[in-house]
Amino acid sequence: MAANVENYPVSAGPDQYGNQLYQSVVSALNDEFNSVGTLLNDVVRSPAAKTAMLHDVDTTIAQIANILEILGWNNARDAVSQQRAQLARLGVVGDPLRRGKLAEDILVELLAVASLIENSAVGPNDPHDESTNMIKDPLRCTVFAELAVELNCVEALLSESLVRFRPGFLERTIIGLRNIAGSLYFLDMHRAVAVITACGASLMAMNDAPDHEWRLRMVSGVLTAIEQYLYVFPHDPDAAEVLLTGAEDYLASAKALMKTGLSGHGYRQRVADIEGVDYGADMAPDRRDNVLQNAAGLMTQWRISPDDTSPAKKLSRELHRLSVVAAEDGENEISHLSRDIGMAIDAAINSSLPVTRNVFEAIAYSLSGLTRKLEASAAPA
Amino acid sequence: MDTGSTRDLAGIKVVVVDDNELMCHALVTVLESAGCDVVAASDGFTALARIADHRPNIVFLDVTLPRLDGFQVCTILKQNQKFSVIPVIMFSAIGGLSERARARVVGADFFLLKPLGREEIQAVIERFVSPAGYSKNILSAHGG
Repeated sequence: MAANVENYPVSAGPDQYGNQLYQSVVSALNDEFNSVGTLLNDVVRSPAAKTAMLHDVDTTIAQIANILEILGWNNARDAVSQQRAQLARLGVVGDPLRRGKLAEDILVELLAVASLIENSAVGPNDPHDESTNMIKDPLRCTVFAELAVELNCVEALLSESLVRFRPGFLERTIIGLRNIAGSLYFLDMHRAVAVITACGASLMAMNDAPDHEWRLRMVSGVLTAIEQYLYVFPHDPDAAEVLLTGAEDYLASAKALMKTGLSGHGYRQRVADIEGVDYGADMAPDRRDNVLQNAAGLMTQWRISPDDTSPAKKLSRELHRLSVVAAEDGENEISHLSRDIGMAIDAAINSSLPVTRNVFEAIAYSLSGLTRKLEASAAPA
Repeated sequence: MDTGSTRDLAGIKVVVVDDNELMCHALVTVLESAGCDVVAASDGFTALARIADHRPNIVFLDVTLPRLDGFQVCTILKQNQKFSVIPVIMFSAIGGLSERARARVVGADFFLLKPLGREEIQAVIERFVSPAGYSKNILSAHGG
């Protein structure tokens, strides 16, 4: 096998012939190292180290050393050649235990060289493998691949849960998120670990929250961002950084929204939309406020110029006023929802809630829900 | 388990990784009966998550595993600054020269041949998990 390897035109070094050839040489070398292990095992298992068996081992080690020399790996060649001297000692050791120990030591040294070569098989001019979009450290590559599998599984579970919620799926999803966080940890992607861990915590708290669908969609969105981050990371760490920051911002705004209670209102409103349920309160028409007639315009102004908070302040004031009026009439649903939207806008104004697209959409959706409630309350019985 | 002449293993955190359900269950049972706090994993990828979560005092790791094999898991642990000190005991049903040598190359602390005996397990834990290290881990787990 070593002879075949030496037939490759590698004498000019791996750079000239591209990474694929280089990988082939490394793979062939690995086979050679493994065959030394098998031969040494036979030597140890035989009652005495026979000369012919040792000769086979020595020949193979010599072939490996020659290939390493051709490749210009002189330090590796020296380390391998040194083991030929150790091998000669193996022939004169009679005690089976000592012979086994010596053979193991020889193999450890050879496999350490093999491991170094394998981990160096990046190719000097090609740090990334364009065909697989993976970092070409073989072990990291394997972990990346398994990570992609786990991410796909969790995303499939989330999609299924959105169609029909099942507690068993949720449990499996949380386990999957823990697995993803664990492997990201060992890839030193600690910010991504924090994002995934927060997603898992959000799902674990789902049983006590009214916003199941909203949380599932949030985690799904974050996972998509993390998937893109992992995809881009090997090629463009700066772009990956931006994606990760986006996922963190998304999560932060989502968490802040959950605190305001808007996510729950949004979910209930969606259920109402689907089921045609009318849970609007009967607010007397003469007490109804027309504040929401201008809400869409104020939201548009705010969205165009987030730094100008005057439209947001005006909207917030009117929502709080509506909340008080509705409470006086005993219309708790409308009162609470207007208060919650007002508080979310207040939080955005004083910067405790990040003003992101996610936040705008949640506020707009909640305003839409509030409008429907008011319309329902105004309709004749 | 008779621990009359041996150290109390109560509270020692162990992660067991073996895809053979029966073997894994047997090993977990032995360790739990000795008082250890055991978490099991059935593949190399899941093992990473369990180890990161559980912060064990020692890991028992099968060589042949799905997804990531035992050598790969051990390499990842030993390359990580926070986890490299955790003793990794690799085990295999084969136990040939190559397995033992590869285990040493990836930094495994010890190699055992399946099936693992109760006394053997106890002895390995006593050898590799020092009472001082164990106490330190317990403190760090509680933020101390």
